[in-house]
Amino acid sequence: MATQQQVKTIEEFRAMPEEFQGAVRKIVISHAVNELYGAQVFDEPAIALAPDPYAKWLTCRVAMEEYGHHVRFKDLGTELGIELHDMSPATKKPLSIFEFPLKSWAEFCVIKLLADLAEILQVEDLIQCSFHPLRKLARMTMPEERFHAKFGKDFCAELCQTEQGQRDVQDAIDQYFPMLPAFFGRPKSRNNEIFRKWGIKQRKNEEMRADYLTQAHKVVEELGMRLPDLAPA
Amino acid sequence: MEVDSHTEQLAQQYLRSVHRGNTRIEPVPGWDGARRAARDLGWDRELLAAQITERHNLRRQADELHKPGGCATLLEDSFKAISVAANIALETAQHANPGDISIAKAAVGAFSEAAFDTALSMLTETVAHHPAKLKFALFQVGRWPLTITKKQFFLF
Repeated sequence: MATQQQVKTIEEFRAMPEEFQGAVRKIVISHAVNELYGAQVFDEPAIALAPDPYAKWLTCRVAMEEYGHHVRFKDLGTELGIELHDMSPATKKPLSIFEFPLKSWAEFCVIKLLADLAEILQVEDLIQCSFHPLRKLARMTMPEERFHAKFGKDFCAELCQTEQGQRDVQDAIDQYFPMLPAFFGRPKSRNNEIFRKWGIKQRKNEEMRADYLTQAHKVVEELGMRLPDLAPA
Repeated sequence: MEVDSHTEQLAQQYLRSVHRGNTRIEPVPGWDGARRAARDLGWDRELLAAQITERHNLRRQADELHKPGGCATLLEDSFKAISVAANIALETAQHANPGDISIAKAAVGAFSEAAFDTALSMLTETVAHHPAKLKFALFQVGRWPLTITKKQFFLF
């Protein structure tokens, strides 16, 4: 197998074919937009839903970290020549997983439990990225994403200590989980094929989706909950 | 455990600014005590609601004052500065309490929230005794203003 070409700097990036550059820009734009939008529609509003000051302040920190991820990707995008308005949710439609109308603390905890688990898989797939500035960003982001998923798990576990909490968490899982598998894109995606061709990403969409379903099952079963059945993909 | 007179004065000013002047200041010894205080379900939810409403009001006022572009760029600059300070504070807090990253992150989250509200209040040119500035002053003297309940103000 041929060794994947590594692109170590912005200068080397500018010398790469347009297909590579366009692929990297797509990923950077997606992360810049969705980290911001997620913070705006989930993390910030959740501050007001927190059950106690400790939960509130942790949510503040999570919101700050998510916003920080947006800033990092946006700054990289600027270095790559992406216009600021192209990295805005006003221009680039955010992912459908953010269309969920957040109403309760239980829902927010389930979102962090399951959506950040999905995000971890996406970020993991960038850790060996052939474009090193993006690889570095992924490595910086990963510990915080893991903390966000743990946040979700720990607070869901707390909620599940009561019968009402169990009902609330299960209800939130039933409503939110069906939205998540779409996060990984379509099988045999042309974008994904290009990403893998250049070593920007390593895994196929369908592999990541399958991996996610396995991990999501495990994490909700540890809470004594279950995942709803999904419509066929 | 006592607080020094300067800190007590700052704490009293803050409590008066949020109309809780009769609340007793309760110093908290140690990170475990801070966690217990932060999880006190007797916390003053009315105060939280008022703080969030004030945050939204300040943001609207700031956008109005900084037309036509609004204050988003200025807030982003503030955010970056707060992030740098918060990340240093997180490392320090983790070093002091290595077994529990969550309480360290909660402390830094509290600091960041107070700093952000202070940045907003500065963008709207509010008075010196605005609650956001008075709360942040406690962080500036190395304290973590924890929970306000009906009778107590826990201060780490």
